[in-house]
Amino acid sequence: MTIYSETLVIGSGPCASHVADNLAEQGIGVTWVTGNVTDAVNTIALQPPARVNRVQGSALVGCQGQAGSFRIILDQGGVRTAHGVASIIVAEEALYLPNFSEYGLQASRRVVTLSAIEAKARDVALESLIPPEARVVFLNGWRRDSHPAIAARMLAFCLRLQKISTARTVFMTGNLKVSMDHMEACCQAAKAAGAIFVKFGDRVPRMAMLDDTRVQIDYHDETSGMDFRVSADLVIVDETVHAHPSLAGIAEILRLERDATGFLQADNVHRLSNSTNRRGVFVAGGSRAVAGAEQQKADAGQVALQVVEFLAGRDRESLRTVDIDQGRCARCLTCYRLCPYMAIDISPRMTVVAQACQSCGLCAAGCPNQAIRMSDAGVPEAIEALSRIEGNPARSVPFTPRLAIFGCNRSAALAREAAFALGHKLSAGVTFVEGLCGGSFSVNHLLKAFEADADGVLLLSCHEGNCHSGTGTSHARKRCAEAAKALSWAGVEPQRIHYGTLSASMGCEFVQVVDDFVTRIAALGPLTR
Amino acid sequence: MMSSDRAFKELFVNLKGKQGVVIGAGVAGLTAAAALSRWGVQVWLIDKAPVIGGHAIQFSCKAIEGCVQCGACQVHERAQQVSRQKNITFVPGARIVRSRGNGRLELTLAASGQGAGQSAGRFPDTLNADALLVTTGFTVYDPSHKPYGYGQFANVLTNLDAERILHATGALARPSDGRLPRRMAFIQCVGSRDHRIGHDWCSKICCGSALRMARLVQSRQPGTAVTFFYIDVQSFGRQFQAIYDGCRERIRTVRAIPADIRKTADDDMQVTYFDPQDRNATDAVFDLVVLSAGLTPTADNAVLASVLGMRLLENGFFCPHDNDTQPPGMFAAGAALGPMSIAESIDSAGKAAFDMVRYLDGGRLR
Ligand SMILES: Cc1cc2nc3c(=O)[nH]c(=O)nc-3n(C[C@H](O)[C@H](O)[C@H](O)COP(=O)(O)OP(=O)(O)OC[C@H]3O[C@@H](n4cnc5c(N)ncnc54)[C@H](O)[C@@H]3O)c2cc1C
Ligand code: SF4
Ligand code: SF4
Ligand code: SF4
Ligand code: SF4
Repeated sequence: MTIYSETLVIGSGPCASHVADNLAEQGIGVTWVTGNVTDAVNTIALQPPARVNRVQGSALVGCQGQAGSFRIILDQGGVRTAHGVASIIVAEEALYLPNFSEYGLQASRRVVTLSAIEAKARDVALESLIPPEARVVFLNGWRRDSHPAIAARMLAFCLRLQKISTARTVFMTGNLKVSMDHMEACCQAAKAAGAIFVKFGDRVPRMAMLDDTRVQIDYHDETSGMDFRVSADLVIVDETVHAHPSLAGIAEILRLERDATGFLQADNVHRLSNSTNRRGVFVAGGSRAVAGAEQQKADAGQVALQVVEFLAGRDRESLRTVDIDQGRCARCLTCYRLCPYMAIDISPRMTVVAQACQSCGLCAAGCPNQAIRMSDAGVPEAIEALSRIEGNPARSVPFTPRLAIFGCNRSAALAREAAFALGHKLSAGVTFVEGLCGGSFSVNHLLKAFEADADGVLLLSCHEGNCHSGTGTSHARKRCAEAAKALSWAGVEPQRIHYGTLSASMGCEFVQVVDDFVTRIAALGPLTR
Repeated sequence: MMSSDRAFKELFVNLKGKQGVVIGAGVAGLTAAAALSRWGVQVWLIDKAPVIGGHAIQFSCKAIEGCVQCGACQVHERAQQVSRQKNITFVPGARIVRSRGNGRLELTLAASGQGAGQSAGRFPDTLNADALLVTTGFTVYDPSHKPYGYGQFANVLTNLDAERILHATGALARPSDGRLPRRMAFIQCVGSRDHRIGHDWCSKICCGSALRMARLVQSRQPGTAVTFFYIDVQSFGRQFQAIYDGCRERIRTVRAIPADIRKTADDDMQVTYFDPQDRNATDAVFDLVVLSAGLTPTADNAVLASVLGMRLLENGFFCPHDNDTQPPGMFAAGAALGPMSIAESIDSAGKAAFDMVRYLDGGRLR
């Protein structure tokens, strides 16, 4: 039996709870999976929001289908259930690991983590936690820079101790991360209240556990140039923010990109704020490295709006439709492999799942049988227009090369507009062909431009790491190389094809790239056919 | 098909025909305007400047071998999306001078006096708003009062000046003679983290922005030596540690903020600072200095806030709209709330759009 729900929320902490709540408030069905990991940091006793179906101690173990109609399998203590969901939101918390070993320390009665002391301070009064006149040392971001959200909590706790207890605090820090709201003011206040700030320089402090009551720290103060020794009654050690261990498995099941640090979103500005490489799958809070309670709550709000936009099809209105002509399709699966958004269903027939498709055109450019049609893409027409340019400038004297520039509409096309806004003009004889992605141009398109009388072809796509379709830019590069090879087989200089990358903010660079290419082709002379 | 096919089209139907006014067409305003318009809200996007895009549209791309996630290209993309939306009207060169009513507001517009001629008389005198969003951003600190010779020495620039030059010309040359610099310095925290002038905040973006710019200049103008004067380096991006470690191999970092700058005979800049290593006042000569001027509240925030009856924070930025701190139907987002990056501004605008949509749908929020 399959249980249908509109959304699946994955996560064991407050962020997932907020997401579930925000969606349920709009009357959207929510299944909330709290995961089968029980680690100390993330087990927060949460009341499920009203109308939310919470499946405790369960994990996602399988997923098929596409946006709008995912078929997922949940495992709850060995019992597996199938669910149908339209959209999935991964909102697992981040993992905070203490940095004891970085400082050569071990946890003890006198050496504690930030989270541990914060938790204790919630239950008991500070006075009973900290001995009178105690020397409390904070260790923050020494070998590795700390996360601003951790530094913020460290500072806030330091200020609190310094103000309302008799403790004398020393805040030892590497780069002090004050790039969270109000942290600089908090730091000023802590200093004013008497907290001593010490910066780790190149010489690292030496720490020794004296007995189980005190830690002795020898350090060199950069500001005064002197060596100091403190013996601390309490040492509070910072933490490092890590991707939750369950994200690796979730990424594999949902086929999501991860960034270099393991979080569930490629580090690509086109994924801002909560998108992933799959439509209908969103990521929020600690799963995309958002730390800080307020920030997580805000993230849970905006992700809800994006999910609702997706469910109501509001984010799809401007996208072109893509269709596979069954009569031409040979089921070679090229499109299935090429589609970066996994929007192609292979059974029973090759079909494009409209709700999952981002209209990038990668499939159409790669299909060997030209079986994929996109509404209003206009590329072939633009190429044809090239040959209709009045009074072929290739024949003019002095020689003005006739060039086709193929450009992605997210980068090169906007860079071109930025160039015009800066007052630049393009040389005569240059035709610009706008595509949906650098990867939407086929080898065939590039060669067709030569048939349409071009002397040179320039393909401009996004920088590596900035391609909306992820792989579009590398396909563009490969197709240029292929087309250049085809040219040289035909006895034409392969330099007549050039590949480059740009971003939308590179107006004057756009002009430079084009001008350089014009010069290069002018030197080669007209293409004799 | 499945039950999810039920009438999602009916979500937030109450928004159709509602009017939203967004003040400030920077990346935050653009993001929010696009989100509102997707729900059928008629959006008026007002900016006192003659052009769309705020600060970030003036920045250069910092990619070297690949993208370094500075976010600048996002504002171009969002500006284009907005210009294609039928139900968003961009009103350049205007500001709000009067606001009346409660719930549904009647706003009076006047020419801002910026870029006059381009837009004069092209907008209605009054507008009705069912909800209003302030995304008026920030103003870059004016370092004329600092002992760095800004405004007097041609080769002392702010980070914003340097961004504009790079964006317009693709290179960073010395304004005095057009020569490419060989020895550059970046001075951080100018007008930020400065208790004496009451700026008890970190501007958050200038460390990342300066280091990315330094790497861009080094890659476009090979052989440029860069010195980075700082107090603490702030994180930028998720791969911060890796990028920062890479920067430190190619950039000399000095944990000190220079005391002053003097001009030499050949328009070079002599920078005096306290060297933390040998603990002495030291001089170094650079041919170009970039001051990382901070993000400060815009001077006319106070006027706008009083016209609208909105609240400012003690530091002069807008107070967030959470917890009923702003009048009903009035929201704020982006760097108008305090220094933040492009990515954070987009987040902030997304969150504000969520709050506005819920408010417009039935006033559930406040
Ligand atoms: C030199 C420099 C470099 C930076 N580099 C980076 C970077 O690399 N990466 C990054 O993420 N961030 C960077 N930033 C930060 C970035 O500029 C901000 O995050 C972003 O511009 C904030 O967008 P916003 O829409 O909130 O505000 P703004 O971009 O300031 O836009 C506000 C808009 O509101 C208009 N406005 C103001 N007042 C009024 C009024 N009263 N009535 C009508 N309209 C009004 C303004 O004309 C403007 O168009 C940098 C900032 C600076 C100064
Ligand atoms: S690439 Fe073309 S031929 Fe191959 S499966 Fe896809 S549509 Fe069919
Ligand atoms: S257009 Fe792009 S997203 Fe759509 S099916 Fe083709 S490759 Fe996939
Ligand atoms: S995010 Fe920045 S570095 Fe990356 S492509 Fe855009 S403008 Fe260039
Ligand atoms: S981001 Fe860096 S330069 Fe800017 S105020 Fe903060 S610490 Fe100073």
